[in-house]
Amino acid sequence: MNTAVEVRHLTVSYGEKPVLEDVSLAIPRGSFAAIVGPNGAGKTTLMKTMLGLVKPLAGEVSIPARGRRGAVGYVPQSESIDRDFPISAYEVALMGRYASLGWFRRPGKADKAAAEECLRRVGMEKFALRQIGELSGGQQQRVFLARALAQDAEIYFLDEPLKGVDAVSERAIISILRGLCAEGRTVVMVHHDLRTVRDYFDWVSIINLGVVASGAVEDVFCERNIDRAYSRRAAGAAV
Amino acid sequence: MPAELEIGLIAVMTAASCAVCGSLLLVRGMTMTADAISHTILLGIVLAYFMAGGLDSPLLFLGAAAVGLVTVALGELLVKSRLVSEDSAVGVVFPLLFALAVILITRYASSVHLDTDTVLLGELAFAPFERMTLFGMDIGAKGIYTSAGLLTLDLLFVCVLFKELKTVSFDRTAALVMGFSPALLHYLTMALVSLTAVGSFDAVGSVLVVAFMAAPAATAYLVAESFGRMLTAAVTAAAASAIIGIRAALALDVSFAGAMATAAGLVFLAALIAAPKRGLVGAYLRRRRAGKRSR
Amino acid sequence: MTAALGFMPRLATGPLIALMSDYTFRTVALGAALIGLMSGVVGCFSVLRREALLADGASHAALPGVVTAYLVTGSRDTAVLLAGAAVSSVLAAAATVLISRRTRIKFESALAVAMSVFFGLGLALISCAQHLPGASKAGLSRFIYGEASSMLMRDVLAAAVLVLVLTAFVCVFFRHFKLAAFDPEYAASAGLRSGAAGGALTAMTVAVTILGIQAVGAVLMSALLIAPAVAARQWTRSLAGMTALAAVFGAVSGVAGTAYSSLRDGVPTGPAIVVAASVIAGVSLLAAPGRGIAAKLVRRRRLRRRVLAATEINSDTRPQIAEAAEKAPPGVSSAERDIHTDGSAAPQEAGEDAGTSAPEDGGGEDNAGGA
Repeated sequence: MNTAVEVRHLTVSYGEKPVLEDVSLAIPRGSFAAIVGPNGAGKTTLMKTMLGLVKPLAGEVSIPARGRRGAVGYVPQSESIDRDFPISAYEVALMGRYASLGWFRRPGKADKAAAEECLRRVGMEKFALRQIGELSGGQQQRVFLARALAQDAEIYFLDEPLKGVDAVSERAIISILRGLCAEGRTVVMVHHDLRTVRDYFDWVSIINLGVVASGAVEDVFCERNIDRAYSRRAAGAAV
Repeated sequence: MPAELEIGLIAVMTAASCAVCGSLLLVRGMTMTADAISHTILLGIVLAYFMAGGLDSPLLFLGAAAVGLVTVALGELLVKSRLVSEDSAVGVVFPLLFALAVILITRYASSVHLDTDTVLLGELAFAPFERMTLFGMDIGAKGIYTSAGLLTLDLLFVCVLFKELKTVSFDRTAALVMGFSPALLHYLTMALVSLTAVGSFDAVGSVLVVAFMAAPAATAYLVAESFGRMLTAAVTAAAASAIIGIRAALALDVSFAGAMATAAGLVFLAALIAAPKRGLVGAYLRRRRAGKRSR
Repeated sequence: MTAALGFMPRLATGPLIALMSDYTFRTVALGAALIGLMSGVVGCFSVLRREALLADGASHAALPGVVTAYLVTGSRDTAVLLAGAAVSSVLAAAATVLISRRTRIKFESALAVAMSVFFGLGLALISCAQHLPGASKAGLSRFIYGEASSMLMRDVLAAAVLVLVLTAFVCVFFRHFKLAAFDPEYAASAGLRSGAAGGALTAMTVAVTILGIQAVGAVLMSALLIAPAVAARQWTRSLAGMTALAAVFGAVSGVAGTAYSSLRDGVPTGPAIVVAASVIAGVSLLAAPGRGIAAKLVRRRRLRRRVLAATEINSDTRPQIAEAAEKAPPGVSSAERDIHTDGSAAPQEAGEDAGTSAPEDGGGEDNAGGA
């Protein structure tokens, strides 16, 4: 059982226009995978459908790990968060433990210690008691990463975690994610910056409405595929 | 128990339970839903009244809560169709249900005692007249038991589901991925809001339920840095507003509900101006300091 | 006209004709139509600017102004009371904007606080007024539920003048309002004073709301602004068309509601008008061609069938995809929990969530391409 996520013949549409059309791809376990594509290619939708947040029109998603509670972790796009919410960095990290606790049970000492440890791993222990909105974009993203770590999931989904993040935070985030993959966990990430794909990832899915290419970075991340993905969009825009 | 103490007790407990519900609504940016629900439950009361044939039945509670949920569900249905924005959906649904209720009352129930004024405006002054009796013994005003029951229910709800509510309000998607059903929690919350709104009629009237769901929660939002503290602060602000309001009403001989809502507004105003970090003065000072530093 | 009436059942025509010739009815219906018309026009902008609930806030917040005006002047003259209403509504609106701009509290929570506290203050003031001789509680229920039947020719004329002024205003500044409604940032960059246009629109909303209180009451006023606009939006794409249609819908609701309440004993006018407007909105939402819910459902079903058919044909491609994943075996063991896509097997909550949150959440980057 080496596939972490498999998607078969997935079609998704909001209203009548398909956002994804007959998408099929698989991501092996333990890989650090990027989903790339031009704006409006359906990257976020693909991730949301994988997570079960969006119901597809046709096709199916399988995530073998899903059976265990809390095995799927998620880091949101930073803009989707209400920064004014009265919650501290530590509380956000602690939230990661809730998944395995399930309904009604309260976090215990071990959970609290784990949350603190995870904040330390992302270098945010000094800001533990800060309200989330008082942190910079990069710091917020690290706190959400701490939450994901605290969850101890087998597969992580991240929606553009590097958007609006300073260089220091970006390096910290990437090295932590790499560490997760080294432990045999899978990290799937919507990514924007094509220049860093080769440096960061070992697996990439290039999509634009459908799958343009999906495979190991060295195999599929070539000029031809990128051009195909990004020019199709240009052609579409010209019409 | 003297009548004034009874009134005070009812007011404080009602205000506190509204504050709990209001906090849950505010952190989701849904405070106006309280306005919608507090109006439409009138329809639930009317329908339940026709079925039960009286105003004393527990059906009234259930009917009102059900219509509160229907309001929310209808609004969401409209938003889901993507034809109507969220605020417009609320603005279309609740007046319709309220209008239907008013028509039903004036047309079919005008002869009976289902006075829309009382439902909307409440009359706390009369609360001590309705007694609760047990084995023929007077054990206090009925309103005390209703409001105490509601407050217990509200507090139990937020205590038992604290981490779930916090998670789903802060990050709905994460809650869903973690296996806490946002839809279930959402509708449970809305049911609680509806129940609390119905139960608060007698004390403050449905229109002022909105004041107690909105103002103390907003006050707390300005002073609290964590969700737990926000709930505590909201309950405290609500209780304080209720006490100040009752005192003022007795001193000035004005309506209890009106004075309580005004007091809630004044408490909010105090927080708005003077809250340490988020208040107007604090924000102004911080801006000025930042301006100096950058120079 | 008479020929058309001839086809109607005898039962209905008799009272209808009697109604047409009734002076009071004509006055009230005309007044309601004018107020509906104005609400329709102004409501379009409120709905597009997402300020729909402002009307609800403004109408509740008018109460302390009305009472204060009465307490201070001792007059029950409509003009005096309306002036008081305008002052307190504007104060509440200003407080809402101040709170939502300067603190972390969001617009609609700020609005709820402002309107409910103002209303409470109004109640307290009313109970003061009741200590004065000659005052009664009747005024309050008039404020809350409206009293269209008390409308006089004088009120109707005032409304007519306001309609003319507002219509002229909207026509002259249409371009500005359009920008303020759709794209305030662009308007600012193009050098148009969108702030002023936005302010004018808010002021118009408040003005119409306060006038409408007389017809439908404070609680229901928001419906008269929102429902016609929502209905009109379903039938047309242009703002001019939407505004015109909303005006018609609003006027029709006013007349229909008045007629219904006159024919049926004990049906109050305000709620009847609101029900009429809501029915128009409901029908439009369901049945409008193209945008309506019915049309959408049909099209989505067709699309789904097409996609499923297409997927079936392509299913031979599955092994290739599995090969691409190299290590990945094609089959999926039965122990694994899949997210099934065809209806029944799908987890309930996932389905619900897809509907409610996907459109907005996905909007960030994904919808950009679709648009």
